[in-house]
Amino acid sequence: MFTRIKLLLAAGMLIAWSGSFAHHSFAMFDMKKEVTVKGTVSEFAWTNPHAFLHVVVANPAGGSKEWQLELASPNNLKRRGWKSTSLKPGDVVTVVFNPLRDGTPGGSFVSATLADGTVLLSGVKPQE
Amino acid sequence: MTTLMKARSRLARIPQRLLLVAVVTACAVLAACTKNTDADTSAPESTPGGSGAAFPKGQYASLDSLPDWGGVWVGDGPTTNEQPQRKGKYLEAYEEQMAMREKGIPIPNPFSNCLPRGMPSMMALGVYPIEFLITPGRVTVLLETWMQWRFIYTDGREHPEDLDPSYSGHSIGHWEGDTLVVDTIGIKEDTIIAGRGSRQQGHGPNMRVIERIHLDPENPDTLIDEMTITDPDALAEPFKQTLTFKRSREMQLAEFVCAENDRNPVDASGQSGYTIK
Repeated sequence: MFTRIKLLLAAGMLIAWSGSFAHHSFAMFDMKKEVTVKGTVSEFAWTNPHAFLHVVVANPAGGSKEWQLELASPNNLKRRGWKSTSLKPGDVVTVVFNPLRDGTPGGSFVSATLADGTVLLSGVKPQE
Repeated sequence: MTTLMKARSRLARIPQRLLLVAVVTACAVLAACTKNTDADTSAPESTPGGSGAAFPKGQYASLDSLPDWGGVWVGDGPTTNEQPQRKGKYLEAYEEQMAMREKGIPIPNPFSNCLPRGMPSMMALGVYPIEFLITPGRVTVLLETWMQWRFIYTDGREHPEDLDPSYSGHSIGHWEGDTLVVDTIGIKEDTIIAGRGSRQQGHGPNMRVIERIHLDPENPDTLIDEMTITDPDALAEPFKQTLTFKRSREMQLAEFVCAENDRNPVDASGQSGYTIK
């Protein structure tokens, strides 16, 4: 129940902040495509102009792949209820993102669901 | 003759009138030196029309009658995608970029290499807050994004003649009742004029931005910036837009160091990249 309330709050913020702005265009991402992966956080960079989340996803056939996902700036994330400790290395997360068009393992962060069910939303939408 | 006697003798030879002038001058100098330590209500003589910072001390009482612009203000950004009526090479550049968009080619955008927006679009950025500091002789606008600032001189000075173009430009202002009227020139030619999607057509060297900034009479927690942009080289007619801001008494400006972790380099064609570490 608590998680659901949190999610609703986050969704409310998402609407409130839908006029969001990034320091570059979103043309590099395929905004119509959403990829969902489950993995382990290897880094959460609380930095300007964008925060970054690195998630390592194990390949069942062996080896692993690290996705480097871009979020809004810490300034905006903080005002939406995020903290620099919202995600930590070792956290198991299910992340949704819009992938880069060129196939590089990166993308624009959409949401993360933690092991306890907490959902974190970025709320960034293209400015166009 | 002792040294003291010599001095007295020399003093006696100085005409009394000259001595009087010297004493008066000394008093005036002393008064000027001690002036800044007293409660001073007048601007230092060198300030109006000068090129330095605004009044260092005094005139704070004059601020009491000004409206309350306290807190920070979050912009709504441009509320329409209305474009200025461009002309000449600026219109050609705009049409070329719109044609690129039609073909699905991203429009070159230099700002992901951490260049600041500059005037006038720095006032039209949504989400990130701005703050007004109203001090004697100057209104300072602090903008969180790219940690930009604007100095709006209200001490009666004019624009300097030998103005070097800058991102914020040179602003002078005056209060008309509760409205701050601002005149800005000297803006670098690569800044964005206005409107969503109006990328880097640039503008002429003589672009002028006039703003009338005031609280919404219906709602004092809304600030309105009525902007009129003229440019004899780039615009066929003045471009007018109204920007609105919502007040937050709780929010504070945060640091924004763009170079900290900028993973979006701009290539030679002006397109932003994405760096994997």
